[in-house]
Amino acid sequence: MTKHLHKLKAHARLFHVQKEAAFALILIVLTFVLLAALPDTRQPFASSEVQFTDSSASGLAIVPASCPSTPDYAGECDPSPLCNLPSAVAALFGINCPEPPPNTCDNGASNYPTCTFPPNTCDNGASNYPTCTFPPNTCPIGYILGDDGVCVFNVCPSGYEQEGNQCVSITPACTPLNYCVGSTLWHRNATCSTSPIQACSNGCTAGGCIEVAPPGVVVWQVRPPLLNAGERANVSWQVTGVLSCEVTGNNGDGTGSNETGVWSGASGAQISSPITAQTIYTLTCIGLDDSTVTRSATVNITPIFQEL
Amino acid sequence: MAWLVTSISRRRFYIAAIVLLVCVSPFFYDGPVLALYRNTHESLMYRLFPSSERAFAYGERHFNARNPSSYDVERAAYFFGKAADIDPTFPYLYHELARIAFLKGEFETAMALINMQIAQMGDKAPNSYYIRALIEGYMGEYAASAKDYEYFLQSHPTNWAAVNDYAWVLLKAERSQDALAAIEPVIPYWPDNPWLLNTYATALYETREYTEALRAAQKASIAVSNLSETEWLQAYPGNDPKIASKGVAAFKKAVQDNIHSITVALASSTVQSTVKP
Repeated sequence: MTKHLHKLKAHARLFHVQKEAAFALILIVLTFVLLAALPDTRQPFASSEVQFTDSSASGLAIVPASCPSTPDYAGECDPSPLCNLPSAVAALFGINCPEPPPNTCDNGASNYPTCTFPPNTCDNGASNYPTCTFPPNTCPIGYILGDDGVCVFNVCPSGYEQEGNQCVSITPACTPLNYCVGSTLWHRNATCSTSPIQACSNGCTAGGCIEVAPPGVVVWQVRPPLLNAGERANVSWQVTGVLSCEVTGNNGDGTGSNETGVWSGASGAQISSPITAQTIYTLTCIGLDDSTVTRSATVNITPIFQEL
Repeated sequence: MAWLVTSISRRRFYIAAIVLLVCVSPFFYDGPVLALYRNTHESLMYRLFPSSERAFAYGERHFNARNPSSYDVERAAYFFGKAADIDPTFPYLYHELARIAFLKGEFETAMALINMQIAQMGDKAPNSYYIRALIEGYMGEYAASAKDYEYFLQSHPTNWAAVNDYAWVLLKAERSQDALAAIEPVIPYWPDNPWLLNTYATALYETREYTEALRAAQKASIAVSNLSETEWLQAYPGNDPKIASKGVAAFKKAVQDNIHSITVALASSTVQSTVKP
């Protein structure tokens, strides 16, 4: 009988424990469901590329992409690297790598698919697309194309002046611009050269350093200004735009040399030590713009008049 | 579990379970909770161990279209800026800042930044030339853009996006024959690429080869109808994953509009050739 009772009790305990475990399991599932249901409140970032379609001369829509913009990686827009292997090997992996069409570029150019010549194959620094025949517009400004295909210096057009054998633009080539790189402000001038102009101590945004307002004293009170010897005064202060503030009295208050301890911070309210003689309290703050602001207030002792 | 519940007190077990849940559960959902957890963690780690490498890595994490919960251009710009403060010569720093300025539509700033990158790394970074070409294209400086695309294509001759964009600026510069010459050799590599097919159709249209243009546009239409948001994001890796559906929709509309324009042009040309004596 006792044995049965023990067995029954053990069953009951196990049932209780299983109930607890089931409850814990439900709790876990509920937490996961709750987390999954949390809405993502971030607003989508609409870049200049989204919905961008340009139109051709006759009005058809062209859709540019920007696949190989990731640093040092051509994205998924290059054929598989397996295409560099013999086509039979690529075919084993199910990758179709068509053979490049025969080279149709002139003058020995072989840069498929565009007949672009490497710079060292053309003279005079001509932009050598599609062939090295120096079309007039590829000669440097001020040069004309000679019969032998060589650019010959002629005369600088208006808006340019001659410097040696070059025509240099006298009109600005770039719009002057200030822009931020981290917390450094950079400038690009009219000749397109760039240089850092300022390290912004408070950060840089939208082509300018973030300006910081000078410190402003909102509250500076020492009350009462007149008291009986041995009484205490209330000192309170509140200053905006500061790195730090300290309040000291010439009786040692706020300096840490007496019972009042150190008085510091952008705001505070303190009770002075017993005042026995005229005391001057001074508030000194260093602003976020590195400027210093000071205020002072005097507490006087009520004179005692003795009848003679 | 039963052993745990009986061996330690129940209250402790529940507290431990809840703490464990709070710590572990963010990793199971690519959502705002995970983003909050990651942001807090990286802010803390950066404050403890600031370095340009760490700042750049965090910037990259937030500038990745494949990671929807982490995508945050402002946070990416913040960390790239931090990296620049520590080490202004860090590779590809200005490249990434230029991309962000470009995406924000600040093209002048983007140009200044990418020029700094090219001055720093020069020929070692053909992708920076690609970015400059893209910015110049958006600014309407098509001749300069075409030159930079050509430079990039020297090292990536069959990159479909570069060829597509190169053809775009050639078409804008009214050099439709050159655009055709650039696209045609690459089509066999990417026979079902909707961007290339659409630009190819446009180039054919501009050269008045309407029948071929319609055929290419119809192929583009089939290809774009199968275009997933993931594939769209591969083509625009700096963009917000949340905006992909709008991008796909805009692309589909562009292709349909082109088919309509080409069909009208083809019909007109057929009528004209029929009427002619």
